[in-house]
Amino acid sequence: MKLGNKRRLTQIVAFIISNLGFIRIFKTGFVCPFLYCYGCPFAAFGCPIGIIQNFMIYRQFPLFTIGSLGIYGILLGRTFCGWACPFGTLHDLLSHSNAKRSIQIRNYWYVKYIILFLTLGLAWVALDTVFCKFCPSGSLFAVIPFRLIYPESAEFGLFFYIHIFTLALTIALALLISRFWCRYLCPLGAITGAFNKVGLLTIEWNEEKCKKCNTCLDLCKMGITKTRDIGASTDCILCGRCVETCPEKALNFKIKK
Amino acid sequence: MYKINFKLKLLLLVGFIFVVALNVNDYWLIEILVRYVCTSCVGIG
Repeated sequence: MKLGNKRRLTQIVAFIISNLGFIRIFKTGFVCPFLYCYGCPFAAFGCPIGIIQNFMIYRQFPLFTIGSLGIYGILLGRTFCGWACPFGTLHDLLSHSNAKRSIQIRNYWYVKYIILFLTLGLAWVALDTVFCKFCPSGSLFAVIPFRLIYPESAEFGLFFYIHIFTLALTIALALLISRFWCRYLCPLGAITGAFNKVGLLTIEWNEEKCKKCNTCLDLCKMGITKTRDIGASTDCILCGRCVETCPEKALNFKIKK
Repeated sequence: MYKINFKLKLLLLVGFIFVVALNVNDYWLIEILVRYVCTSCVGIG
């Protein structure tokens, strides 16, 4: 099976597993390794960003969540963004297969760290899950399904419209800039991306085999600009698009020792 | 670029496993959050 098909299959399986919560016993306290709102009526796991905010509100240190993210990160780095995240999958579907045809803007990688800092800071100061009120992933996977399943439950408040606005804006930007949310704004991507530096799984570049054709960089939806950054950059989601398209087979998945 | 020793990575992994194991009580708190989600908290209402 081609790597691209394997990736699509794992994305579908991850989406199904994330929604097993429609069977009550599968509503668990495990932490999801990607951004999937537990406001979804079918959610089986807790969104790490939502949980961390809740723990900050209650002035507790979210050690279980940090530990879980640490395990995911050390084992697989940011792989979940490329292979499992349902919101990342949506971005994959929306963006052009040749990333060079998307709008190219500077790599403001640090913006997602600012978003992460603001998310945690606002939860601490405002004693509220402020980020969740704007999260476009929550809009798609929680707000809309919740409204469809429980139409009579509550009136449409201000945050419903804010959610729809942020979702529409994110989708519009994702159509123009490949993996827009993952590249610039995802606070969970900021945490898991940091693990790319220490993660066991990586993509290895064989400089001797490489003919510098830059096919890998042209197809990279995360906008990586240097071949040596593949696998190591905090932006690399280890999707393997570069691995499968390299004509010289100079890129390969590898356990980093 | 700096490189981190493989054994150090495994040590980190074991460290994180210990952190999870020692705070397993949080699992039940998170399960409550997931099961009885506050709709206004996640901005649904």
